[in-house]
Amino acid sequence: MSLSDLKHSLRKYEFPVCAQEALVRIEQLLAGRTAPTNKQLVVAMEIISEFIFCESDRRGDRGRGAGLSSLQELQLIDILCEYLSSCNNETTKNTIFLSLFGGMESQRRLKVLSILASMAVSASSTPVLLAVGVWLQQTGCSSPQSLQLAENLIRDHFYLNTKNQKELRMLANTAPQFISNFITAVTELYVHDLSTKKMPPKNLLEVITSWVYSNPSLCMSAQLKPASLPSGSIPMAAATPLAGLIRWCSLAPLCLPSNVEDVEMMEISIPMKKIKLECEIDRSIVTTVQQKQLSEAELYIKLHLGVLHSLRSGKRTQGPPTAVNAQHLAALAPIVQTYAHDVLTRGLKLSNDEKLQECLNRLGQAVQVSLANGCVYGNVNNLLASLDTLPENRLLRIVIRTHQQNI
Amino acid sequence: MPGVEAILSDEDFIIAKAKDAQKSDIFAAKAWMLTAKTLFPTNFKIQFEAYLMEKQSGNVQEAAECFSSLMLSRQNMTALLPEISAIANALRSAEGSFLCQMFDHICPDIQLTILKTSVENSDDTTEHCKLLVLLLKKFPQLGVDSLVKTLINAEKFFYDNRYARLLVVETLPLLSSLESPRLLQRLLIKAIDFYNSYVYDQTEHDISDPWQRLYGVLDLLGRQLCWDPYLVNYSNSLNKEAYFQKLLTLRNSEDCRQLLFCGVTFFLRSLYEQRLLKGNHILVEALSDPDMPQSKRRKSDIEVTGISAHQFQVAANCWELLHNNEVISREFNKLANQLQAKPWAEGFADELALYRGRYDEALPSTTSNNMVSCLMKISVYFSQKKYAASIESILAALPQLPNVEGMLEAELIIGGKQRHLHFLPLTKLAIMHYICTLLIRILLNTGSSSDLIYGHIMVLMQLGWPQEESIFIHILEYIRQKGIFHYHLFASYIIHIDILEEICFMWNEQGNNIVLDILPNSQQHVGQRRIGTRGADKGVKEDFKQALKAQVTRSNESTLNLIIQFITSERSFFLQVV
Repeated sequence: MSLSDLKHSLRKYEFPVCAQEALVRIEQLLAGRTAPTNKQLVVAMEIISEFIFCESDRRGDRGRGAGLSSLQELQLIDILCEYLSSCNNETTKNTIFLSLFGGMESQRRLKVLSILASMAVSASSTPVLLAVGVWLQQTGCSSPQSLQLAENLIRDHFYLNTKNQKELRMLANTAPQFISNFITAVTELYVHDLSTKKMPPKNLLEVITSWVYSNPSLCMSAQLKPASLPSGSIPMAAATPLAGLIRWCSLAPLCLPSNVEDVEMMEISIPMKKIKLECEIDRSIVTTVQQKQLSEAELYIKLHLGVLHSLRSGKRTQGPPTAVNAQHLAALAPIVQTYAHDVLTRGLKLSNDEKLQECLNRLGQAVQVSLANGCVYGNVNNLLASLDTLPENRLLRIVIRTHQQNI
Repeated sequence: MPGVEAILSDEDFIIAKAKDAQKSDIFAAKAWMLTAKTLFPTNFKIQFEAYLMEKQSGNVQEAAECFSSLMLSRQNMTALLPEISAIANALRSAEGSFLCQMFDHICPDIQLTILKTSVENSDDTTEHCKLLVLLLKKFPQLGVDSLVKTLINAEKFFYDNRYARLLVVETLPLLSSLESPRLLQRLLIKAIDFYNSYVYDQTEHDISDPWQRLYGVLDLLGRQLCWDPYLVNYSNSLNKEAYFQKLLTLRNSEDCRQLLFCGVTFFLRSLYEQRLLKGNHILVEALSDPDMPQSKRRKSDIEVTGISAHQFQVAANCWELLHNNEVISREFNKLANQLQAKPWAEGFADELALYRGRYDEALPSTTSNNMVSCLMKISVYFSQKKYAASIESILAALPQLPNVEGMLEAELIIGGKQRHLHFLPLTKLAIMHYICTLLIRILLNTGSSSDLIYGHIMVLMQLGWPQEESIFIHILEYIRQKGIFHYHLFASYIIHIDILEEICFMWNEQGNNIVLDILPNSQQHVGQRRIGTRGADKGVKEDFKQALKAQVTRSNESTLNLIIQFITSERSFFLQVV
């Protein structure tokens, strides 16, 4: 069948049948034994545009296609879900998925993708989620598209719905690569600077803490298992959420509203110890015991420990470190210095500012564990130098001294 | 605080930070410890603090990891010793405790190091051995020679049963091979001793299958010395006849060890079972009657009946096999001397003497006059035909009869010519039955066939009726031929309905031609007021009928008490009759 006949034969079908048929055709075009020719690629893209997203009419005129109605969007998502779930070749699945959503420009397609991903999260559909994970990686976790997708998912699953934590927690086991890349994208959305203090919603923080704390290898999973990509394509370096999470945890003491924190501390500090110790013991005996609700400040502490554990498993047996970029850590120094400057201008002593000391302690711990486990790539000297500019903190001194010796 | 912190070393500073954090948030504390571990990976103090923290938080996996790295670092072992011994203690006592769970999460190499260290550092021998047992249970590949030697050479070993238990019950099952047969032999003796004492110990019941376990040990030695596998197999020993026949084939083998150990084990077990079954029974000489049909089961020249008879005969035969010749006899005595419990010393020796017809040996001392001794004397003197002495003992026994009534004994007389022994229960009725049976024989053996003797025999036979029916028929025949029978105690003691009927029948049958002088007050009128049959004296005939009727009304009375009363009141007769 010639390529033009191919399109001709598809025109016999109405939507959504044509979309269904089109998926079969483009699979034949793109996922054959040999890499597709340019001509085949072009035709495949045209088919996707005309028969799947209905963006162009038969003459290929963009903008004249009717586009999809809301109902048709849902029909299409249903077809895509079915197709992706039944596709038993990972490379073929990723090839088709990236062909469908790989273009950067279309908001319409991104909308379809967002709904598809959201549905896959609801339905815990592992094949779709893994494909979305590959998409996040290839698009770049911090790209605007990825951030938009992440925001949509957060809106659908972490704001409106808070009773789905159990299902969400499970995803870290079934689709770890997706979750890892999703967290990486999410870290880009919050806790950037002290002026806006944009913090993740508690529900999201709880789930991420649970993911990271219970699966020390989760953050490295995108790197540990390379995505199956179409032959000839260039795999994008998998990022890890570790640097972003270190930023969250280190800056959290500075960002969390102090009055709330104080109230929380006062409320809970005395009985807390007991309850928590008991909880800990219970956990080891009866693992199903529901954990006590932690405050946000406590969640960051737990997440921080989870990150340290993840760093420990981030050590690579061979090759250079890949887990944490030194530059990302060094970038924290100016933010902390700004805070310190504020403290000084208020005429207070830096060594007495508990929030600052807590921030520096966590940063020092994270840097130490990262360096000791060989997780840091990039300019480590530069990192140490920028840490050296931070306010006085004994742990940071020890860390800097230790690693300057080693360099 | 800053002032205090300043003087601390870096390590201590971080530990202080961690401990401080632990008060409010365990996650924060762990973050500090994790950092400390990466900063000072070889620092014992930090590793140990990290371990303690995980232990306090109840994190099995993490604590196991921390402890493993502590063990691997091999520094400061002395500081770890208390923890190591706590783990060993937990393993021995508290299944499922935190330390046990933690131990299970540690890799085998380090587990071994922990246990070995614990063993090496225990001073108390019991402790030491218990730990060794633990070690061997977890790591059976280590071999047990050293443990066994430690146990055997322990000073307290021979008077502290806990050691024996440790050795026999806990350690021996772990043995799969031991290089030295001599050592194994000592172990086997120890095992025989232990289980032989254990089965008689009323206070301990926790080992459910002691004999089976002992055969397990026997099997160990047997395999090393290439014994007949049949003999060391526990289930084979359950068929006592077949097993004994197999033992018999070893009678003349050169190396007597197989016969000795298998035989002793088998003997002790049979004896134990016999003791258990026997309870309140006593072995006595009983009777056999060549005119009665021979029992089918036995071909030997001695037959034993009653409770535990089978086990007794096996034990007795086995005992004799173990004394078959000088060599085995000497070996048996050597072994027996090493056993703490000698269950054959009580009772069995006397029974064995009786069994073998060594009456003088079986006879209790003359001063001993309790019930059992009296019975033994009755039995032995009777067998020796010392009837006067036997009767004396009977009279001595009567006031001591037990209160438990019991039942008649069915097997006091068996068919055949062989000797017959019987395990007699110590109950009133059984003892009296036995006494009556013997007295009847004694009276028959006096040789005199007077009316008085036959009358007494008829009184005595009522208890075990119809055991002596044939003698009764003989007596009836005697009366018929003689045509006259005087027995003035008839009205007092003969109440058994069958006997009364037979006499009445005979009297009628003979057309009232027999003179039965049996009325109590007739003694002085023997000449004038015979119960005649010639129609001469109708009144006398009526008297006889009335007298028999009166006896019949008494037939529900207890013959047991009647006969005790009879023997007691005829005491002087019995003392003179022989």
